[in-house]
Amino acid sequence: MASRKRPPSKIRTISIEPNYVNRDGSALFKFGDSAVVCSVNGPTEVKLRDEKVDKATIDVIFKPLVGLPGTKDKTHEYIIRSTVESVIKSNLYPRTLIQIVCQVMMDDGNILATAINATTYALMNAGVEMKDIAVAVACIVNKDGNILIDPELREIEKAQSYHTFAFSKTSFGLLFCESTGLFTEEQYFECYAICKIAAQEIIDKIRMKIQLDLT
Amino acid sequence: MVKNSLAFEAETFRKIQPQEYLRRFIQGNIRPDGRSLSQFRPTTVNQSCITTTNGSSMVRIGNTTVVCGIKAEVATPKFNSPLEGYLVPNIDLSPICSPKFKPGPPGELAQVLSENLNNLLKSASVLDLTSLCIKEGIAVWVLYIDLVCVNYDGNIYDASVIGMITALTNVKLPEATFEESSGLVKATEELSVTLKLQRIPYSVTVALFDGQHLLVDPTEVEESITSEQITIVFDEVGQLCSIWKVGGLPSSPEHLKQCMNIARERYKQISMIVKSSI
Repeated sequence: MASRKRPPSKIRTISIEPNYVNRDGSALFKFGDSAVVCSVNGPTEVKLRDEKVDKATIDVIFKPLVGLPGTKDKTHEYIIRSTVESVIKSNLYPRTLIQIVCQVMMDDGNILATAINATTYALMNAGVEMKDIAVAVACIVNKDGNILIDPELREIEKAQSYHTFAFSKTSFGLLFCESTGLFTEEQYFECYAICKIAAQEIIDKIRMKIQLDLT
Repeated sequence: MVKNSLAFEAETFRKIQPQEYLRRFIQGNIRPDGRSLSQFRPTTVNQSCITTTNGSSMVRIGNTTVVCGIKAEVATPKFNSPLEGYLVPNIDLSPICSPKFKPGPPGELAQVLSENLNNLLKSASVLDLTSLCIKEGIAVWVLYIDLVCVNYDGNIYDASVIGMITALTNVKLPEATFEESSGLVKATEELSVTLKLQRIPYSVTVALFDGQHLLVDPTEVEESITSEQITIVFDEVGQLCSIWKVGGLPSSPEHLKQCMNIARERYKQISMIVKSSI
């Protein structure tokens, strides 16, 4: 296996392209060669069946790179929805629908974190009111016990455990976490700490991008 | 007459202000069903209860009931992994277990649960898949792990994991051989081959209410109010196999540590219950 070209705790180059598709809000988010486009429609009309009287209905559709959506993509939808549900001020938009569509454009690992970040940016781009901002980072622990942040596909294949975290911007609390594989408590909290630092870096990138777009 | 109208009011209160209703209970350090915050519901496990399957179990956690049946079939292995069999977990949440599920194709929750169970089996390598090989590149066992929820009252994942793992431990397969001459797999009448699990993981789910109160083993009502759950899976040597936290308010590492301690204690309980069910 060719060793990675960047240090273990360095994330890949982030690039963000707002207004990627012509919707209420959209963004393309890239971690190196992993890219997800997210578009947000809303607040818009909701089907009577899904209507909630006191808050907005949030619908997430996750489209894989190739093929039809499977259980994995459904799980991603569920994760993204429950993560953004806790940050969007959905009680400001009762009886409406906020529809979020994520499409994977390039897959080189770390897709879930990429999708969450794309969704965050697209929501801001759409002007949906939020009380917080969610940013996600993933890392793996490899067979030698080293922690590699923002793993690429070939690194994930050989991982001992795989962790994805989503943090909130204001309190840096844990919004979402999915860890699979075999690991110890110490390893977990080490991953947690490293990902938290990386999350700060992503927030800075997002802020810089917004400032750049506004000027 | 007065008593009746009071009883009615509590029920109305629950319906219109479910969060406040639960909060009042939590302030008194008790939950609506009479448990303390750290108390699990009575758990029972029944093994090999379906004779037509290769392995089966029934798990009850309070009112939540899950039946698991494992059926073995012969299939051709994947080209890339000619020695490996398959494990196919699937959970069925039909309207029989709760009115919140609709008939028809599996809903979101069922798909998410199936995916998580599959992830757990794969990433924690619960079973060495090469032990399911009959003839390299030609025939392997595929184990269909079907879980049916009979009654849904929260904490379905924990019940499913216990059900799946205990059913896997009592799987009995026939001795199968591949006959070169006829090109068929021959199996004995007698079911004698058992599986050797590499790891016995059990999961523990804790709901977080108001971002500070940990409610272990949440019921359906508590699940719908809290929206925030942490699931932790440990194996028999205290190694972590999975952590899953979705939704709700941001939580701190202290909560996770507390949950891990709860999960470690609960693991011992579950393995006792499973052992005594044999």
